[in-house]
Amino acid sequence: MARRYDQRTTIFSPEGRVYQVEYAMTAIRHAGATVGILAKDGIVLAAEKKTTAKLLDGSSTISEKMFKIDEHVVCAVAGITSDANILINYARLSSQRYYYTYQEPIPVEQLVSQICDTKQGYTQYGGLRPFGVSFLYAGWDKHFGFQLYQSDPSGNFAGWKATSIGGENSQNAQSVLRSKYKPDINYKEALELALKVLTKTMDRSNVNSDKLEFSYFTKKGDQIVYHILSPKELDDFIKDADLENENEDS
Amino acid sequence: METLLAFIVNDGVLCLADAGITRSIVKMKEDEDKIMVLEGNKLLLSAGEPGDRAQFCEYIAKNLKLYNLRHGYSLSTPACANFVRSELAASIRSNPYQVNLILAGFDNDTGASLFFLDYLGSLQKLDFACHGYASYFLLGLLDRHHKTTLSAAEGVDLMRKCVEELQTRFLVNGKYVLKHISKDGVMVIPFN
Repeated sequence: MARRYDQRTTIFSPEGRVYQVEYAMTAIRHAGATVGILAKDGIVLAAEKKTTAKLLDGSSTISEKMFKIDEHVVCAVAGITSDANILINYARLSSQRYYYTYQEPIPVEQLVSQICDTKQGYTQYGGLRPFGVSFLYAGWDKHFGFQLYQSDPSGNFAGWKATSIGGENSQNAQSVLRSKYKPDINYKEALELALKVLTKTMDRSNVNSDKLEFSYFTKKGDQIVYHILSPKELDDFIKDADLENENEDS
Repeated sequence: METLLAFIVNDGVLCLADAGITRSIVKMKEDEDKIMVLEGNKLLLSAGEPGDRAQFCEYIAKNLKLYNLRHGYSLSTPACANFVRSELAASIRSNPYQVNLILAGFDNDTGASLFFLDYLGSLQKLDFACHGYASYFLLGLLDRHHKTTLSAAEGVDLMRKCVEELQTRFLVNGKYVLKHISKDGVMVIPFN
């Protein structure tokens, strides 16, 4: 009888829980950790790659977990990537629809809220299961500048200064962020903080460009620039940061 | 003789519209305000079939209000112009609104802007704009005399010059409404 309230996404258990949504959140914990940090001059997104096989041809797609939605919004995924692809497709469509109507880029929160409405729908109208993905959205708009949002399978979302999704050790990540985050941080310091957080949550020997993805948003003049670190840039960056870490420790 | 006229001045936009409603040879009223204030920082001037005008302007105004309630901030003037255009373009092949519009607004970040729209769904960003028969006489006059550096007072003088020209050339004449929009909001300037 324990499974009575498991089968459908749309009904509460007597304790007032929706099990399928909770299971979806558990699914996300199996994915690699993804960290987002808001800086005063940009946003950093960093992620741990879980699927690294020797024979996997990684050259075709540079990015496995970071997706550009529009010129001013990107998102990082934790969870089932195929589910995420559906939502990302929808996000891109929403963004262009807004641009078509107003000839202005969509404000970040509106985009996040639209995707979350779709996610919420599957917890109420009863598809087979909810979307098993959490997102971190990084974006810039003229109303609120740089913004970082997190969303989960229930359709909840909130704005954050620094947060992480996915990963077995997300508690660790959150506590490092809480103790090390400063509001006047710049994006270069944020990159280093993100690395610090990820090294705390994963096997230290794995800290290299095969296992990590780093990207950042910043502004050059009026232009919003999004950059994904290439494997070489990333390895150089890790090398430099590690040296500094040792200096700190000594 | 329906007339809509607007041009940019150094601190905002001046907007003039006739105040008459006519049907066939009959003048129904001459105190109609054809300049609707949207969100306190935009002016929508409308000419055309009175029923369509009322319906369409309300529809736009309420949609802007809805946007504001949903998101906590208002659409910028350019975004609003594009929204209005897309609504006109969507309706032209199903249930056309017989309305011609001018949209003027003042945004704190980008300053004053002025847009010309017609019922077919065209949109033009201009420094001065005119709808109706008045354009035959006024566009040349404005080419000669209009500058975006005019002060509001000089702008009002130019408006008077324009209306003088209309009164010289039009078969019949009526009253006008003049409004000025700037960073301080909308001001009705006594004109007749």
